[in-house]
Formats: sequence, C-alpha cells, structure tokens
Amino acid sequence: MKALLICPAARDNVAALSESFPLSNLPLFGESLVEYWLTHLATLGAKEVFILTSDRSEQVRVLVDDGVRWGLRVEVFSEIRELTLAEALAKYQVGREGAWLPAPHDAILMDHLPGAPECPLFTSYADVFKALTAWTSRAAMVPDCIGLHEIKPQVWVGLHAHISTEAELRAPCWIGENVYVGPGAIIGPGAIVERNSFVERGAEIAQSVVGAETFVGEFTQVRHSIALGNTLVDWKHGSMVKVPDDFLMCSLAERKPSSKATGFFYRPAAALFLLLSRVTDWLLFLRRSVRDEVK
Amino acid sequence: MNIKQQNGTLTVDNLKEISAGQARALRHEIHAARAFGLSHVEIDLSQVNFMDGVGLGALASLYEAVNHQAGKEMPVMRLLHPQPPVQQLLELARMHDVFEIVPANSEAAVPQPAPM
Repeated sequence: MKALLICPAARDNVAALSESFPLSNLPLFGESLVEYWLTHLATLGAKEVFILTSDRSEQVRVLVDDGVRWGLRVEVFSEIRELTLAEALAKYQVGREGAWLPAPHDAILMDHLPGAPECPLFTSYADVFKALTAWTSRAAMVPDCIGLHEIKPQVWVGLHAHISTEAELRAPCWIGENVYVGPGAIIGPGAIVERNSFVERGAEIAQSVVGAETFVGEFTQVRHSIALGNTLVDWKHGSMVKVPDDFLMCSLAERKPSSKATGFFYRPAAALFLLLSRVTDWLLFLRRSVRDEVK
Repeated sequence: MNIKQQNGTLTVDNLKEISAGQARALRHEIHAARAFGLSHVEIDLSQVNFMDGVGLGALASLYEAVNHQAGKEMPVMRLLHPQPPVQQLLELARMHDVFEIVPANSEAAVPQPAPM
C-alpha cells in the first residue's frame, strides 16, 4: 500500500527550530519526525511512501535513504512549496495504480507526532514544548529506542548516557543517548535532553528541551526554554536570544571550516609549505647520510 | 552611559550594550562613585540590546565591589526593565539570584530615601 508524507516547510512562528535542518529532520527523543512517521506507516501496512519536501530536500534524502530500514520503498520529491493534502493527492495519486492506505493515512502533513493530532508541533514554541511533554512516556515505547531504560518512575535514560552520581534527576525527565550530566546538575522536572548533549556540573534544566549536541555550561539555569546550540528560546514568552559565549551554551555539532582557509592564497601557500618542508627533510637526510659516511 | 547619585540611590542608565568594550567603563565609573552609604543601586537595562559574558562578569564584579564598599548594610541592587533576550541571558547566568530584576512590563517601585 502507498502513502504520501508532506514535510512541513519552515514556519515563522518556530523559525529557530529549522535553522540547522528542515522541520521533518528535527530530532525528538532521539528520532526525527520523519522517522517516527515512517515507522508508523510501516506498522499500518504501507509498502511504498512518497515524501514531499520543499525545504532542504537533500537532508531528507540522506536521512531516509531508500526506506529499507523500515521495510519500505521510499522516494523523496522536491516541491517548491508545501502542498496541501488535496494538492498532494491530486498530483501524486494520478498514474500510481495499486492500493493506497485508507484516509486519513493516505496523505499526512507531518505537523504533529503520530497519534497525537491534538498536539500541533509547529504553531508556537509553547506548543512544541506541550507536544513533547505529552509524548514523553510514549517515546519510550517506540521500538527503535534500544537501550533506553526507566531508572525510576518517569525518568528515562538513553544508551551510553553518563549521569554523575551527584546529579539529581527529577521526574518527569528524559535523557537521550550519549548525554553527559555533570555532578551537582539538576535535570527536571519536565526536562528533555536530546542525544549527545553535555550538561556541565551545577547546571539546572527544568521545563525545558535541550536539543541534540548542545553544551549547557557550568552553573547555568535553563528554565521554560528550548535550547538548540547557542539559540535559547523562552517558550513561555516567545523571546529568543543567541547566546554569545560558548562557555554558557553552544552547539557541539561539527563546525564548518572557515571559508578563509580555502581562500585564493591558501592552496598555493600550503603547496609551498609542503614543498619547503620536503626540501628541508631531504637536506637533513643528506646531512645525516654524509655524517654517517664520515664516521 | 549616565550615572547619578541621589538620596542614597545610585542610578545607571542610557546603556546601549554591556560587552567587553563597555564593561571596563561601566566598572570604572561605578567604582568611582561612592558606594558607601547607598541604599539602592539601580541599573536601567531597558536600552541594552546586547550583552555578553564580559558584560555579565562586569555586573557580577559590580555586585562584589558594592558589597565590599558598603560595609554592613548591603544596598538593594536592581536591574530595571531588561528586554526579553537580555533577561533570558541574565537568567541563564543566574544573575536573578544576585540582583533583583524588574521585568520590562512592570513599574519599578520608587526607592525610599535612605534614613538619615
């Protein structure tokens, strides 16, 4: 059976969420939104899924590949804008014979998590937090959450997470894979710390989401916020700030090399340096050989 | 930056940003003002649109300096009307544990003159 998945285009109301990747690739409890939906469609019996994306299609293609991970055949199509459900069905059902999943599963706009249409994700930052909080206990049931364990009621910790024995975890909270939590840190209540993040000692995180690969500095306090790299959004009031200092908060994602390094003079200078170092090596080798011969 | 001292209250306003460039001047000016006998120190942040770690450090050192000079009676230190992004930074760095922060949408209570 076939189905259509429509990736949400960037939304002005939650612009910070799509700074680094399209909304469909946003990591939520260790998985991206599109991965949740593909898992859901596979469980409904879909065999072929067409993904329509209007924002950074290549990133979506890289993430889902050909869909074999879900036992699906997935194709990603680029669109110039986000299509409505009716437009998408009109355009993609024509000429594609065979069975489609029954409505409303035949075409889905990924603006909520599967099974939670009452919790829209991208209408406001407050809604993002509300939807994720509502999803927390369900995320633990996702079959792909290997190694996740509930260490005490409503406190989930992912695989290879390192939690200091002097840290305090207050339920409900979710700590993803490979997260480090330092001594004296307080996580929760209502905290979600996504994979590969680093929470320094003494930091406090409550009623907040810390995005994947985010560093939270020593003795900082993150409350009613969404922290994504160096972007800090107050979901309660809707304000946003770029934290200017890495010691307070920053992204741990691999940084792109500076464009200066590949400038016009860089390559010839590097070649010249390489050549000179070779010549020097050769001269040193020659000198050593002469010395050995004299001895 | 304007600094005035009246009725035991030291007021700093007209600040545009508190970063490495301005932190030294802010520290110098406030150190120059006599903190002894002050009952209130108020820093108006309503016009500040940028603050970094050095600026936060300047505020912390200001707190230390006032605390040091003030003797037994520590003056009330307030940060007035920070814009939301600045308030977020202050809270991230836990400055609200040190200073009283009067939010942008609320009126600061007029400090009472220090008892003579």
